[in-house]
Amino acid sequence: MAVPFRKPDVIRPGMMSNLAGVMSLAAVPERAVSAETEIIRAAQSGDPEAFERLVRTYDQSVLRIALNVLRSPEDARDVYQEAFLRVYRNLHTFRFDCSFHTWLYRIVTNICLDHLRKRKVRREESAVLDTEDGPIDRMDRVEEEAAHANPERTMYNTQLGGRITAALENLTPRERVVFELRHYQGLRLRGIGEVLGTSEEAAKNCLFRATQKMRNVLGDLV
Amino acid sequence: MSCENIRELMPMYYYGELPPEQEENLEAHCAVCKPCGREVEKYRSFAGMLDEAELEPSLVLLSECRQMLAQRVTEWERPAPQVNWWRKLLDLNLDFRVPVGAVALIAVGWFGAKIAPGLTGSAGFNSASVMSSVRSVEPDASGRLVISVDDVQRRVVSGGVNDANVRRLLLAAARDESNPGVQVECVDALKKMAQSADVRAALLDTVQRDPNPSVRLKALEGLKGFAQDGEIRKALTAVLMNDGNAAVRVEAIDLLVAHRDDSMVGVLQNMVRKEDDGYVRVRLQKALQEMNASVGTF
Repeated sequence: MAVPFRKPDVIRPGMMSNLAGVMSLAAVPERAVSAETEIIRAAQSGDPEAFERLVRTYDQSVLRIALNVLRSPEDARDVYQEAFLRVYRNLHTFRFDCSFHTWLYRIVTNICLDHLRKRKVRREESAVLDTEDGPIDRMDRVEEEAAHANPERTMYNTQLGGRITAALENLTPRERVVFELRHYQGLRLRGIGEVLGTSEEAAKNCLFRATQKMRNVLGDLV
Repeated sequence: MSCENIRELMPMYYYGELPPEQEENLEAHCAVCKPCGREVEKYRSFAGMLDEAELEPSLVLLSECRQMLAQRVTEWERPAPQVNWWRKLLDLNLDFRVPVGAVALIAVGWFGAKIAPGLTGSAGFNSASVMSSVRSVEPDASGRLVISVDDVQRRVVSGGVNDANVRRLLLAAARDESNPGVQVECVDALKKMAQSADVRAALLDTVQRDPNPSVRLKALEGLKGFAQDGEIRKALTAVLMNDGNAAVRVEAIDLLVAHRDDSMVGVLQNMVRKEDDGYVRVRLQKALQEMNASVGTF
C-alpha cells in the first residue's frame, strides 16, 4: 500500500508575525512595498519618525535572527545595535537596487558572521555568567514569560536547546546563517543568496551541508 | 531515481526548494517505497523538533535594544551637512515670518525721536516714532485718491526687571500669539521675574495654553526654580500627559523629576505605556530607573 504523503508545510505560525521581514519580496503586496518606499525616502531625508518606524518594522526579525544564530542575548543585542547604527549612518547610500529587507539582512548577517568567526578564534564563552547576585545562565533571559508559564516544558526545551546549540556549533558560520534564514526565518534560497551575495545554488549547497550535519548530531532524537 | 538519490533530495523537498519535476519524482517514489516514505516522515519530525528550539527574544530584551539604540543614535553626531535625525525630532518649528499681503502695510516715514520730558532714565518714553499703515485706497469723484491711513506711534520703553511698567508690557506681549518671536523674547525676560506670583501665573498659563511649542518651552524654563510648588507640579503633569510636542514633554519630565517625589512614579509608569515618541519614552524610563522604580512593560 502506498505511504500517505503530505506535502510539508514550512510556513510556521511565528513566521507570519513579521511579514515584511520574512516574506520574499515577490510575496509582499505592491501597496506595502510602495508605503515602505515612502517611509525609507522620508527617513533618508532626515525624518526621525520614519526612521523609527523603519526600525520597528524590522527590529524583531533582526533580533530573532541574531539571537538564533548566536544563541546569546548579549551578542544579539550587540548585533541589533550595530546593524541599526549602520543603517542609520548609511541609509542615504541605499539606492533601492534591492529590497530594503535584503539590504538590512545583508548588514545583519555580515555582523553575525563576524561574531561567529571571532568565536572561532577566541575561547568560547561560558553559558553561565558570574554576577554580583550569583551565577546566572545567559539563556534564562530569553522568553521569560514562557518560563513562568510552563516550567516542565522549559526544562525540556532547555535540554533540547542545549543539544541543538551543540549541533549548531558544528556548522561553519555561513552554514549556520543559511540554516537560520531558511529554517527559522523562512527566506527562500534565492533571497538568501541575495543577502549573502552568493548564488542560489551555493546557498542550496550550504543548506544541504547544514541539514546533513544537524541530522548526524541530532538524528537519535527522532 | 535510486533511494539514495531520493534521500539526498529530502531536505530541499522539505523546504519546498526542489524544481517541480524533481518534486514529482520524489513524491512518486515515496508513494511506492515505504523506507523512503518513512524517511520523509522522520525528516519532518526532525525539522519539527528544531522548530521547538527556536529562540524568541523577550520583550525585555527588545525594549533594552530599542532604548540603547535611541541613546546611541542621539549621541552619534553626523558630520555636517547631514542632520542628526533624533535631535531634529526635538527641533521646534518656529515660524517668525509674519504673513505679508493681508494688510497693505507701508511704512510712510519715521519721524525724529521725541524725548518725553521728565521720564528719561526711568520706564517711559525715551524715543518715539510713527508708522503709518494704509488701510484702504479709493478714487473719489474727481479722480483723486483717498487713502485711509492708521498712524501707529512707536515708543521705546526701558527699565529694570522690577519695573512695573516693563512687567506690564511684557505680560501683555507674552500673551500676544500673533508674533511668537516677540513672545519668546518676552517670556525669556519674564523668567527673571518668576518670583512674582503674577508672572508665575502668566508662565503657567502660557505653558498650558500657548499654541507655539517654543513659547511653551521657554515658559517651562521660567518655572524651573518652582517645580516643587504643588500647583506647578499639577500643571507640569498635565503638560506631560497632554502636550503634543516631544521637546515640551521632555522638559516637563526634567522639571518633575528634579525633586524626588514618589507620587510621580505611577504617572511616569503610565506615560511609558502610552508614550508614542521613542526619545520621550527613553527619558521616562531613565527617570523611573533613577527613582529605583519599575519601568514596567509596554
